[in-house]
Amino acid sequence: MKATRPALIEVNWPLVGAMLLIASLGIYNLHSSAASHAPRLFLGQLAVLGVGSVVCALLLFFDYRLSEGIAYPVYGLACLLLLAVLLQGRSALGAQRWLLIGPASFQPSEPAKLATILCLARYCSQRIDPSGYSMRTLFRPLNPSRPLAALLALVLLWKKPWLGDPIGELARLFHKNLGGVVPEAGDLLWFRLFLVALILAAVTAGVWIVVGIDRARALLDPWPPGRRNRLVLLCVAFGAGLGLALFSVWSAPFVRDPFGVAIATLVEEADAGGAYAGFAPTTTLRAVLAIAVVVYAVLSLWSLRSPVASLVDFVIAPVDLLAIPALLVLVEPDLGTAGIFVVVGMSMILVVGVQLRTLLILGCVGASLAVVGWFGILKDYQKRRILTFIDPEHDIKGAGWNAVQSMIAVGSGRWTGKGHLEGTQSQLSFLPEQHTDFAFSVWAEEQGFLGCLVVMALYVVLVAAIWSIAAQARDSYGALLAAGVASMILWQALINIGMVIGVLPVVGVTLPLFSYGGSSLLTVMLGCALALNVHLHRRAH
Amino acid sequence: MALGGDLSDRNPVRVLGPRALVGLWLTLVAFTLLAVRLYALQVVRGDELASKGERNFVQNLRTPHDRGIVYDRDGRILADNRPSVDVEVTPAFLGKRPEATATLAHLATLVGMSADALKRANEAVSAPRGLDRLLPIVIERDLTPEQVEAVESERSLFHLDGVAIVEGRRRAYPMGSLAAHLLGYVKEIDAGELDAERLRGNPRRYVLGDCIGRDGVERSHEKSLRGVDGFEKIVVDAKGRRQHDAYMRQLLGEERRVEPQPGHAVFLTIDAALQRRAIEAFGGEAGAVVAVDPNNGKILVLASVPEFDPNGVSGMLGATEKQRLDGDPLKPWLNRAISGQYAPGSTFKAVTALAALAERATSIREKVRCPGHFTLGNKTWRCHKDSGHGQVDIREALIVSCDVFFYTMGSRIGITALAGMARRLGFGRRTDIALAGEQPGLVPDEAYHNRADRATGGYQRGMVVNTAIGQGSLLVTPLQLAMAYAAIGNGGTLFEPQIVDRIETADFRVVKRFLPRARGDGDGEDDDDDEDDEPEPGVTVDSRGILEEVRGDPPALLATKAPVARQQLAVNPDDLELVRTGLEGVMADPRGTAYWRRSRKISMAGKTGTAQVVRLGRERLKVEETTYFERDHAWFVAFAPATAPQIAVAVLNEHSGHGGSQAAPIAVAVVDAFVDLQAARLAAAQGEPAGAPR
Repeated sequence: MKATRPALIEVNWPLVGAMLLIASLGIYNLHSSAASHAPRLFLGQLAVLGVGSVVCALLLFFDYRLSEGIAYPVYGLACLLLLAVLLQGRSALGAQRWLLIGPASFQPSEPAKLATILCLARYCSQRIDPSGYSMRTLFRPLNPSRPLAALLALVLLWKKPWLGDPIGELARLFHKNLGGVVPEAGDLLWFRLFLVALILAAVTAGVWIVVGIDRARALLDPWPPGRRNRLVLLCVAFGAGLGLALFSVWSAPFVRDPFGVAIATLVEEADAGGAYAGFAPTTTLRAVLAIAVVVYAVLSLWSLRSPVASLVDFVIAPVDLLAIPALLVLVEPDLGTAGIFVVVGMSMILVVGVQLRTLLILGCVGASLAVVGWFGILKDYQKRRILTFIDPEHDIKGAGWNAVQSMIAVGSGRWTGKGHLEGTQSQLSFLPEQHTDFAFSVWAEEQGFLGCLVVMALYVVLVAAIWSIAAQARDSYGALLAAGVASMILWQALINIGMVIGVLPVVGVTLPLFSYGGSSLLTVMLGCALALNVHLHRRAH
Repeated sequence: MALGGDLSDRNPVRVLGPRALVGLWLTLVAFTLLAVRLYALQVVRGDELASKGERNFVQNLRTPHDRGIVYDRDGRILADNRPSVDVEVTPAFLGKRPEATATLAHLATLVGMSADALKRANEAVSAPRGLDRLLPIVIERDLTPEQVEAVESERSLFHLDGVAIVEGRRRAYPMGSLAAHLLGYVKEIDAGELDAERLRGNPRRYVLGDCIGRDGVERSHEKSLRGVDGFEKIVVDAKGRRQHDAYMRQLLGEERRVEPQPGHAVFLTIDAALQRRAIEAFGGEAGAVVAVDPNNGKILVLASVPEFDPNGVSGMLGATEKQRLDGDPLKPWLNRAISGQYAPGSTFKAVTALAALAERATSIREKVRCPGHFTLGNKTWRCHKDSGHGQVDIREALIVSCDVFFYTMGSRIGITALAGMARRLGFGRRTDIALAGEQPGLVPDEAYHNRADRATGGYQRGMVVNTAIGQGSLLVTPLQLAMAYAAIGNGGTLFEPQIVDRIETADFRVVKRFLPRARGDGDGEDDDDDEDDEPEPGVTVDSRGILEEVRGDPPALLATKAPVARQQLAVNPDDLELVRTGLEGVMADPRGTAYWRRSRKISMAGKTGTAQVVRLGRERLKVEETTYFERDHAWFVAFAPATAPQIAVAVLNEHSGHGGSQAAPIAVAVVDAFVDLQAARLAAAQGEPAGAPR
């Protein structure tokens, strides 16, 4: 494995140049965008750039393949940090995204992106399927971890207002048809739980039927043949859930239904009777979720004595690797970053290869879900919100305000811009989040179309360089790693610029290297350093 | 799928490389698309979006204008503006709805707003959207120092975000209730009126919170009194905070202000001193006094009792006062001088006399015997003097106010001739005085009776008998009566009543001078278009070419004969003179109904009137035996001097009884005051011949 040290001349200078130029322009822009409220902000960013450059340079002296070994632990650590953010993060703008470490604070979701890329690169590079991934490989529907994922997803569905309340709708529907009376909030709560259990049971039953009918297919599952272990695991999982529920009933006199509190918080009905006052309900919920995840992981480890690769395959599907951090980020809530996890992960999986049939199936399922959701589940206000995403000028005074203000800023830059520190939209604070998410609209207003072309050209150079590194990589790990970094920068840049110029919904995604934010800058620079490393070690020695 | 992963397979997989290159090309395509969109935004739509951006940060700050000042004929101020302390809120800074509601509720307790006002404030605050939320809304006007202190002390504790104390202008009426009905008052424009204005394109640029004249001169001369708001362009940031002046200059240049233009000054023909004396002299519960210059139709006094204080009903504080006024059975809102319609009673006998003379139904040589009653067909009418007046000619009949004489005249000439004369003297149609709410009165003729009394057989011959003494269906306003007597006194010219003498700019350059106008006989033949002529501030006054400096003009000491073509009433001058002498006798002849109330200072001619309100039975009741609203109206109409008069006065004292005792003394007091004031004015003019005291 030990590679000879490559010559410095081998460094991909276009990449380095583009990276440093973008970061420098970003700091120059920060000087203007933060001038009205935090004029010295750019100094901190400059410091981060300096530190990051040194770290990146040092990293070039190691072989990138060392990162393959630490990919899983790093990934696990990143997920724990994301969990920690949920449990005790610092909230800003109504979302918990920051973690305080001593005097510094940082956003674990940024390094988590890189950790996810490492993890996926390692995972997929060991499972290259020349014919492409199938549905089965991607999602592992026979895997007993699915019910847990389903539970997690359902719980999240309750919490997220923009996703609607499908379970609640269903519960109300059933209740109305069965009893003809509108249930009380408390009844509804437990009815929801019952319904979730029902759905889980149905899914499990379906899985078991499939397995029973087609033993040959079951053999294809990485799980060793035989159902005993699987049964035990399922029983334990359901037992844990039941125990938790029973505990909540028994302990009622003392803690008044912690499980109920958790669920009630999810459905946002806890305050109705005041019965749950005095708790930190979200914490309780997240604790319960965390316990369930840990219990499940430990049980999996304990009950299986198979090779590690098999264990990973048993517990986790490729989509899980991106879904776990994505969900953790989604709960913060940070829809934009969660979306980045998903699109970056999907891009990497696409590079690994997916069967055409699978792509078609996924497309069909997605489209039908969208149609059913639009006509069946979504309420008017939710539809309006989506319409505003599509056409911000449709609701210029309300939700589309940010998008419209940003478009005004960009448009009023015209060819050459108003000049540094001269942009009225930015200096008079009409732009939201103008030094982070909307940094590019400040740039567009003050530097004009030509300035924008320069920055976009630099991004093209940067991303293209990394893609070509991926194409020339010496092994599939390196190729996937570089592809991941390229897609991370690409997607963030596309989504951010698209949002700034009003073609994409306004979600919290920063422009890599350009926006203010130490965590983001360091993460992208580390990613670039890894890509450089892949380039340096592209030849097998 | 590679089960378990083949750990030895570390060769670059050939499929990954091409896929990465696909990624490279997709990157290029994606950025090209973004560049195209950027081109569309920045180059194609650049100018449009840049101007939108400008609308973001440029705010037109309104500098309110001063409403025009209203003066009386001698330059006394009747309506003025004074500073007031207002409290306003900016919806954007009040925060979200719950916080805004809480802040407003807190504010309401501090300044003592009613629940209704609080509700309106809540609605006003929650209505605006987007940048409109940065425009302040005035919640309460004219705070007392205590209220200001209460609000400020809360603000010093960092409560009441979004609430500000600002200085505003408020209409003030320094003479209080003196000319309330005449001046009217101002009130904030309501949403309906604003919508109506906007339908017409809002040429006067009203905005919510602006004051608009609600009654009287304030309303009829709204166009002149309203000025034009000024504007100051300021640069604000997204939170509405005003930026530094240097930055504003950099963005907007030097020309940032448009000064407000004050409204025009309106000079009334009213003599405030005389009006005051008239109101002081008026002792009754309710009624009206109108005094007019018979030589040009200029109104000197136009008072209606009971009054209200326009200072108290303007703005939001006036709600309780307004309620009180609304509930008063005496209807203080009513401008009785122009909107009150009453039976004229015996004061109408002068008209009957003129009609009879014009019809040659009688002459000075004919005497009619008054036995105390008059019979026509099977009906009998009584004279006010049961024993009868004996033989009376037309002059004596006016002096003693003999009913039987005029019953006889009425039955001789018929209702058509009588109504014709009444109309010629201006009854039965609006005088078109420039005040809102004027009523036309009613002159009944055959057609009217056929219409109104269809159930009882239409017109009956006896009806003219009632009309001849000013009863029956006949209705007049005090103003009409004053104008008619002015016409009798001045030799037969019926003028249009004129309330506004001239309109001047705020720096006293005459914009328009209103000249005396005689009224035509016909209805609507000279429909006045004063409304359209009315000069508006903001129009370049110089272009009108009628500017003249009036600063050096001596004041008009005594009304001069107006240089207008006098439109004579179609009445024989001899007949007029005969009636005039009859009216003179009312006060000069010891038999006259107002002889004992005559003026000691000046010769007067006039006529008493006691108008029945309720048709009583045959028995005459003592005043004490009737309820207030059943009692007779007392009238007195006069002009003085009796020859070549300079003032004509009509006094109506509602439900007070006999005209000679209840109305005549008031009229005499007004005339005496007029004489005193003219003398004082003459003395002042002689003492200060060059200057023009304003």
